Amino acid sequence: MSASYPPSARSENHPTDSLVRRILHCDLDCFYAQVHMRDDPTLRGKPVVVGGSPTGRGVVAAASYEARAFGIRSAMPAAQAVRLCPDTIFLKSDFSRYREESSHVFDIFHRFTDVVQPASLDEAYLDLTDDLVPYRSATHVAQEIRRMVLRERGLTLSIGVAPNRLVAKIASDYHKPDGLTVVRPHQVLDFLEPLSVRRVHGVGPATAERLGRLGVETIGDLRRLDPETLTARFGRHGRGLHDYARGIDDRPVRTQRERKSLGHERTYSRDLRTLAEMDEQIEWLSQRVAHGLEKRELVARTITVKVRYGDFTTLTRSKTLAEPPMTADHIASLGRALLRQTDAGDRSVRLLGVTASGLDRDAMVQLELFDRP
Amino acid sequence: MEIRLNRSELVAELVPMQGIVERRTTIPVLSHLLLRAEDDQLKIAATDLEVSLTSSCGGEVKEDGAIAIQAKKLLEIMRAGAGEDVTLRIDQEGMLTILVGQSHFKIRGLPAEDFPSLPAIDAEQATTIPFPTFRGMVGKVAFAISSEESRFQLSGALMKMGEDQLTLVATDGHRLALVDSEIQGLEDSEGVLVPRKALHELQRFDGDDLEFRKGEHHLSFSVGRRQLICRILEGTFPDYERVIAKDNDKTAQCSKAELSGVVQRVSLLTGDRARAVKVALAEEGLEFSATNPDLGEAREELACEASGGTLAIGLNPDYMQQWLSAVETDQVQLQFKDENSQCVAYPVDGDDQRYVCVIMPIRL
Repeated sequence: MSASYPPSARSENHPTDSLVRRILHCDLDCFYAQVHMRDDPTLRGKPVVVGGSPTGRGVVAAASYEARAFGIRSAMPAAQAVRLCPDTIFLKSDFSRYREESSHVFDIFHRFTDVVQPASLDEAYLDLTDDLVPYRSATHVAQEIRRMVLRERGLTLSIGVAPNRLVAKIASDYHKPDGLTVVRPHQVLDFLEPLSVRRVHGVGPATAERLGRLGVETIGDLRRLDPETLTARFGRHGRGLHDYARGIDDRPVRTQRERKSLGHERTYSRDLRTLAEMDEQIEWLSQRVAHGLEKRELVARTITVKVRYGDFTTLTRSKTLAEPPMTADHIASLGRALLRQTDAGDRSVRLLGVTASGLDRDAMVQLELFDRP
Repeated sequence: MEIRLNRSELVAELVPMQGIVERRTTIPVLSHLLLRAEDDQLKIAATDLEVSLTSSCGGEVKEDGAIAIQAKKLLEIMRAGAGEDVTLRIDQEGMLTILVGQSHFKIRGLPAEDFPSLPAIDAEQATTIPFPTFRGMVGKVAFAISSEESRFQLSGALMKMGEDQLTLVATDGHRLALVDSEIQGLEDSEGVLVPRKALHELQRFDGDDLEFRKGEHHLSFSVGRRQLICRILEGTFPDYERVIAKDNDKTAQCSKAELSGVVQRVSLLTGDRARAVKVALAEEGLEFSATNPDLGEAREELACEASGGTLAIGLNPDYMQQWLSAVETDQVQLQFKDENSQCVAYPVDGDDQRYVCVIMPIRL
């Protein structure tokens, strides 16, 4: 876990090295449970579960490592958790608190790079490739992040450092909790060799079972499977598996999760009867959609209106434009036109929705000559 | 009905009708032409209920009569016909017999009464405009008409008469084209919005004089035997004079042909979704560049007379090209203010009193 060569020397001596990415996968240890345990010292060292009530039909959202020692796992019914360990302390989840805490931790990530891709509230990928200052390695940064998060937020996290997301994710899980695992490019194959195929991105119970029938248990087994068999059995997914088994993963770290659509809908306490009142609602929904797009610096190519009639039949009408509509007024005028392609007005309506899709983060925006009327 | 006429003359009148009839219509009769034989001619009409076209073709009428016939099939038959002598005859109710050369066709029609009645323009005084001038003006603005249905007030061009002057303006909200021409005898009147389709079809006409009439809801354009009638587009056209910037202080003057060539080459490397060419103005001239994230980039310099300072702005190359192909002069001038303000483009020393194109930039 020592520091790597300075990047300047590295690029001279090992030209191909400049192509190697430095990816971190940061994963807060049993995050929800840890937040409660940090704030309430009496919980520390005890089996703590966050999630549904053990008397109801709830499931475990997070379990402390003490609880995990009893075999309690995420997504397990809470009642089963009680059976495994009757002393388990059940806590109600408090997502606003987790979100708040998460944003503090993400702020720390952002001190080192802007290329941060959140995977969830407690998990993120960082691409340090272009942000390493000379004489500083990704490993250093990982140590620094762990130190800062502990000192400033009182939380532990595990980090995997690797040339890509796949291996970084597996590495962060390797020494958990409170661990740091560094996998250098030349170590990738040896590192993956003995691990269960279940660790590979995209291998769930079903794929694992089918692989098991082929005698594949470890990632090493998977690598030795010939590519034809893989593609024949698993199609396109097989090609991905072939790469992943070799520690090959080109997926970029995306700074923002790519949205596919953005929309708002509303159910009315009283059915809408006239087109005039529906238009008013379409305008209001369009405002919200336009505002959401603007805030995220997105442009949309397709606008969809959703209509649910009084009898609950639901339909949608869409329009795709060559030029993205930008303003709320433009979205609304499309929305009103789409509404008129339905029976709304002749029939009463209990729900209206406006959705923008075909989103583009391209910052190129054609400016308008006139303020939209 | 029975009429004898000349095939080439008939084809010449059938061709412009094709632009009017609806290809995909839920009302079958709208894909038909109304043919009426009377007064030594075959009168032909087409309509899509918004735009209608009537014309005629001289012939020898043996018996008056009328029928609606599918426009496309009739043209196909006439185009393929071997020989110039054509007879159109109704031998049997609802069927049109076509004799052309040695060929004999019998095609099913619809009753003439099913054809929509065409709007009549109240017999108001006509304004006469030299048609070649008018057609040239339409060609200079038509490309800027919006094709978005949702912006209906932009889906046509504004036609406005002043004293001895005619103005046409079109915009799609991103760019605008305006042309003024001096035409003797015109008087000040309120502008009207002419639908895109009407202007498009008028560009195919030929003739010396255009007789223009304005009714309450319709406009009539007569050129020779042809009369096009369209509904006036409702809506308020934006305040276009306001966007023709007068304070653009950075200018570049260059050859139209060279500019067009540079833009064409550089635009080969624009992105598929966002077509933008970056235009950088420096003392020595203009530099054009484009980047396609998947492919690579292109760059080319164009020496020209530049003044007023430097800037870099993103422009849609299609907007530039469409304007450049309508320009008739050798030299053009581009005027800029900043990267978020409109570029204003003029031909240098043109015959038109004023021909201007305003292009809003793309924020890069």
